[in-house]
Amino acid sequence: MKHNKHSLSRRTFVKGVVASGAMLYGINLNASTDTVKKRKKTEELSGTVFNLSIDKTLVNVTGKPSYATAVNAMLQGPTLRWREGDTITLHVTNNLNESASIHWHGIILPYQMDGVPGISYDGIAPGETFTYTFTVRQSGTFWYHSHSAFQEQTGVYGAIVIEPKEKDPYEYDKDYVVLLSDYSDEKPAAIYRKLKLFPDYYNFNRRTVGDFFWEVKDKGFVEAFKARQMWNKMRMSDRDLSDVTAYTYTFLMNGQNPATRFRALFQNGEKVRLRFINAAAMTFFDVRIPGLTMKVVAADGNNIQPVDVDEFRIGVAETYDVIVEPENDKAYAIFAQSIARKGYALGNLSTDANILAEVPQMDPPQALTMLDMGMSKDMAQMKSMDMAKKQSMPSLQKPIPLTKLPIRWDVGTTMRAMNPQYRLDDPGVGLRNNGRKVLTYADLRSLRSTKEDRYPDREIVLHLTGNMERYMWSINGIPYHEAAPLEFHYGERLRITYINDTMMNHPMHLHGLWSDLETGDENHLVRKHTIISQPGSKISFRVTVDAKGAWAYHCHLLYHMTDMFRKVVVD
Amino acid sequence: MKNILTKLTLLTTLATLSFAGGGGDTLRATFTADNLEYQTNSEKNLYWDTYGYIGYDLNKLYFYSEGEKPNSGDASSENQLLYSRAVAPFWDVQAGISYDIAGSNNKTWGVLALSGLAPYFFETRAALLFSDDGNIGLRIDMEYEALITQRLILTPKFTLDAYAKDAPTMGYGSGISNLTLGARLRYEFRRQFAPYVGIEWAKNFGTTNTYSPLNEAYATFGLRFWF
Repeated sequence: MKHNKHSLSRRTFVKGVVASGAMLYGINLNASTDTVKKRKKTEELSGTVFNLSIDKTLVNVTGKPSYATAVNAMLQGPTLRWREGDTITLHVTNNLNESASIHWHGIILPYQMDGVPGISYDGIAPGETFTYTFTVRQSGTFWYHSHSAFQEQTGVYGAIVIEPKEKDPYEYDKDYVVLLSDYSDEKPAAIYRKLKLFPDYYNFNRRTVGDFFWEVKDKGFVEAFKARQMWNKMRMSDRDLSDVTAYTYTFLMNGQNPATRFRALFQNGEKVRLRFINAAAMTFFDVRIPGLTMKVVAADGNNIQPVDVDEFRIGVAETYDVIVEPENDKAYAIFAQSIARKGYALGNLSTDANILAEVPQMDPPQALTMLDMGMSKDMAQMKSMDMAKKQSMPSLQKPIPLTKLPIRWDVGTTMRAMNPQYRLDDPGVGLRNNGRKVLTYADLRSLRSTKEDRYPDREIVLHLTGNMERYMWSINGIPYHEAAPLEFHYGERLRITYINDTMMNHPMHLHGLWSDLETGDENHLVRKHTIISQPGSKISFRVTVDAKGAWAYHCHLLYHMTDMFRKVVVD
Repeated sequence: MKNILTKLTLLTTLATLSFAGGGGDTLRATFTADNLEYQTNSEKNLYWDTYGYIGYDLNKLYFYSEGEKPNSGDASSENQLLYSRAVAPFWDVQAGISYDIAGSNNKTWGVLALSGLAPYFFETRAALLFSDDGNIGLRIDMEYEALITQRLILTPKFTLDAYAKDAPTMGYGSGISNLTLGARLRYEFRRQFAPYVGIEWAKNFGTTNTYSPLNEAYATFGLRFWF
């Protein structure tokens, strides 16, 4: 343990320093006609009536001033504390000079209150106030974010904590939100343009000539060449883990960069509940607290049977609640390394805010394997040898009729998973066999029994598709603007299966309806709002279609969302 | 120029993009100077190889300009303006015109080209040219990027030109007219800005070599940039 001292890499340090003074960098607050607010400290708001505004806000996250779009001028936005059963009213005023919106992520509500421009409403025009009102019928950890253009990237997000009507099944003394996000001084439209022009732009972990020679030395020329051959023929990179990286991002925990560090306090003997929310635009995080076992008690707001883990991967838009029991007078790093391993968000858990834990080393980045390309299991095991474990697989009682959907394999698709497998017990690239107990979807069992839940009436299969070379994304090879809405029937129980025909993890989010994930335990399907579909894999979940209206359905990676998107109509 | 292009793209991006109802295929414009260099050959050439486009994921309007200006003497260049259509995951078909300049002479061609990424990551472009005097030309470019480090990149390049008939005013003749093999080592200070050094060997063949004999190896110093 070190006191107020820590070693940071130069990059992290440079990007972590908070300089002061906008004038220093020539930003003149009076030059713009927009109203600009200055960043305020994130607050917690509770009650039943909330006044929120979305403002152009001057922030300094990286040592350089930039403009965020922030809720109540807070980056991150205020934490909203609701109570299950209450009717909530939220007046949201848009002070930007463009249309804005707020979507209540994972909240089950009438579709008109869901906050998706063009689907549930028109969005909030500049200068206007929209009033959301709905009754809260759930409890747990959730969040909110903009669904307009790229505003989420520039700051429109915050946490929601809903207290349950009945006593929480788990005991704890302290309760903290731990919201992870990624911030860039680059304009999101500029990031998106760069990805379109040069999809590898932010990847500084590409294969080098040296890597090849190391492989030759390691296993001989023929084997090394063979290992590269498949990738080279397919013109795909096994080092492509994250489209946007720490090259432009600073990773934040509760709005704090790694230098200023979010600090959670506990008193000796206390149990601490940490509500992890991944509110990043593009970043998957692998979270651990070295020295502590985390008891995972909730996933996406829903209670699960507790699982003890050393580490978990949190996809964009997912939430996990964990309870930890820190030892007396110790300091712990809450360490969330990005999946590309080029940067991390950092927090501190200690009895004294001035005592800082040592910062753990980042793991080396790992390459994708044949398994991630959806090759057959045998081939994949021959190549990678890291998936010898049994595959947990949903067992179906009886066949479910399949509804065929339009599909297109053309310019927009570069890969097809030849033999996609259920990989629920695969922690995913970068976490396999790392010597730590890593949470997988196979570990998630709902606390409630799902024994009596209806068996699915029909099934649809959605291929998650893309062309990385052109940075095009789609579902079933068809981008959103060319796709007919998906039709769900009110009252039906639907089974949806994803086949991921890309090399990226896609966090898929279905609005308005719960997704009951098939984890292998038919009696305890875990209820989620966002499901990670691993590269080259297959995964299934069930949906009780119990809410009429029009819903959004999409990949939650911001720069995939534009086209890997569907409108769902429930009639 | 850079600012105008960037602003134009950002404006159109912002104007057309909203998740529910917009779509991410936004209009963009870009310019790349693959090579802007000084060649230490007998002519002391200033050489450029540039391209740019404005368009969408599948449909683009491309221009290509490649040429050289000897220290003493007139510039010669090949300039193409093409409609480019994505036809396969890694391939575009392009059609349009080429306007070649050789000193005070010029020649216009119709062009049909295939451009894209071949297996093993070879950036490839093959253009067929047709002129009204019945001449047919073929120009093939291949390039590979070998990463020495994440920022130090070696680019071997292969260029071959061939024609069906002689075109004495333009300085090329029938058969394989020219072969150029080069390798350039650049350092990407930023993705968009990379100075480089290179070596190149160029040789003319057949009638072309009669018009202007060429067989030399030389060093190059230049800059690659894009925006």
